[in-house]
Amino acid sequence: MGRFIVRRLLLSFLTLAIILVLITLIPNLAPGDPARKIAGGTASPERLQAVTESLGLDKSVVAQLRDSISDTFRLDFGESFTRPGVAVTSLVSTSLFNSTKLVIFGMALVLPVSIAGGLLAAYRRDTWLDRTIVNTGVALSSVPEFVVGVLFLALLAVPISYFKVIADPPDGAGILTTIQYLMLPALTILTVYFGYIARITRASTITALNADYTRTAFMRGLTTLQVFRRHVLRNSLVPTVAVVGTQLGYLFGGMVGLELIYSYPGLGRLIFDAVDSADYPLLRGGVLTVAIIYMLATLSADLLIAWMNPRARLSLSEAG
Amino acid sequence: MTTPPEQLDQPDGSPVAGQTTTEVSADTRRQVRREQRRLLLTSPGFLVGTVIITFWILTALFPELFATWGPKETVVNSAGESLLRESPNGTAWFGTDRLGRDVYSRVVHGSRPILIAAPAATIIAAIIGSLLGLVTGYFRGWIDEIISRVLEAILSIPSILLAIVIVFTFGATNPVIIGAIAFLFIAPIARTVRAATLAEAQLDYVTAARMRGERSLFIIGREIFPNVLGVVVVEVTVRLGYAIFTLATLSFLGLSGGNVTDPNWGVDVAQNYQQIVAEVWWPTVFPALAIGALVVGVNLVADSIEKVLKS
Repeated sequence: MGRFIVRRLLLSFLTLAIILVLITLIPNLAPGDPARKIAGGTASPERLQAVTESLGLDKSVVAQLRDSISDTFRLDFGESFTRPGVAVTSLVSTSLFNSTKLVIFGMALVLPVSIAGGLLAAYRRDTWLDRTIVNTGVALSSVPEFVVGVLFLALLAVPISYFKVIADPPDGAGILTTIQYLMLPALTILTVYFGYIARITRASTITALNADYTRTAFMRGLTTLQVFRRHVLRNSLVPTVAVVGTQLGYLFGGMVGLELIYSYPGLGRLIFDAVDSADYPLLRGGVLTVAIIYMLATLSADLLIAWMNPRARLSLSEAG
Repeated sequence: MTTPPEQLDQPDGSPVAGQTTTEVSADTRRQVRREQRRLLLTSPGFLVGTVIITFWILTALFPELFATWGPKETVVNSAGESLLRESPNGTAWFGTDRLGRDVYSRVVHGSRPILIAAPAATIIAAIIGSLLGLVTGYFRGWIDEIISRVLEAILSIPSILLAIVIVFTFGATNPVIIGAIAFLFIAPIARTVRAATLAEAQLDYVTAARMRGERSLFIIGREIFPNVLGVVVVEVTVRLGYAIFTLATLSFLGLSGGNVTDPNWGVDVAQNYQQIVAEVWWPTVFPALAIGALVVGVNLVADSIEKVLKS
């Protein structure tokens, strides 16, 4: 296990390093003068110079890489272009806090509903109920979240006053009010993840249901509920939760359309605004933060899976 | 023995008849393929998906046949007044938007940009990704190590974010958008094909070919490729769904190759969704449903193909 952890950690750092290189190299690869493009055609020479410097394009690629690495380790990405004097790190941490809030509430809704769906599909497998759950799930999760978002706006937010069009709760809002505000984006996240999680739960539950210990439990005369609680659940839920972990990173930063529609100031929104206003330092800080979160999420999920299932440890050693 | 490259990808994946394929195995293979085709054609998901996709392809090819107005034309009534934000009615089936344009006709015209860009990006990614996957999976070694790590890194950021960064840096033009999506999808395709190739390369027929002294190019192209083609087909259809997903999202974010007045589903949703609270839902909901229908159609087909090939 120790060997596995070391390998897995090294891999994570390598991944992060490669992302860092990619993000640093992109402005160098851009055709023409990216600083000119970002600053705009009418920018003053001073502004142009400032943009060039902040992109690091006046330095060699090696120096740019060195700066990037040191910036990332110190978590200091300089000042925002659009809001001079404001550190990128502080903007990013506010957004990160908001994203975390949404992810926690979203998952509190998604996990029980999707797992229940998966258990139901497994228990009634190969019936119309099973097919409906699986097919609806697949269909919903393939649709971009902004599409579901606008449909919810039209179907839920306009006719039902409980739902808020703007997801950002006012300052000092209590827990119930916060939940009310976050309800629509959380429901949208539910449609994105339901099919995925329900499918995994269904698969692992079917495996557990077919296992000998389950058959024995039924033969001992336990009720269905007892068998599920004592034998099936513990064998099917842990892998489900672990696999969900590998997907968590997407919620931080991947939900750009969703955050835009519900005016939610999360990481996705931050990165979109950075692009929209050509705020390169903010963009770099945002993307790297998302990459770090993504890395940590998959890392902990992988470690969890490996801890539970020794075979997974082996596969990394073989592949690596 | 020379291998003309144009013979490397036979469309149905059948290896060119020759010394490597005996008549018997070719027959069984044909039988398997016929059975797969039958399963596919009787699967409801595949049929529904095909109908949806065919409809959108027709609108992309011949929008004039379906549209009742021009995509940028203002709908006028008999008195010659332009009708703004008109709810769905007999003249404008899906209503009109804030500029008085017919939402239905814009939805019909909007299928073309996405149905050109998404398959183009997917095909580019499929070619490069399959090549990378085959070569790294067959030869392994340190080049494989490096490429695999880089691909893993690309896979570890939400692809929409990388797409935004690339399109922003290189400019929102059609070639850049197609190239960005192709670049991002090389990684998952290569990873899948590599895994399949790795498994195939352990099998006896590959060892036998190696023993016969076949060149690596021949082994990869004629022996392994036909056997991983199923994996490639599944991966490509799945990626096509994601390409549509990503393109729609990019254009919703304002990163589309065209002008804002051009009919484009994602752009139209972005331009109109703020009016939903004023109960003008039709200019947003119909293009949104169009995106949903196309993505679901492609995914139904992808799902059915995957099920059939795995059964």
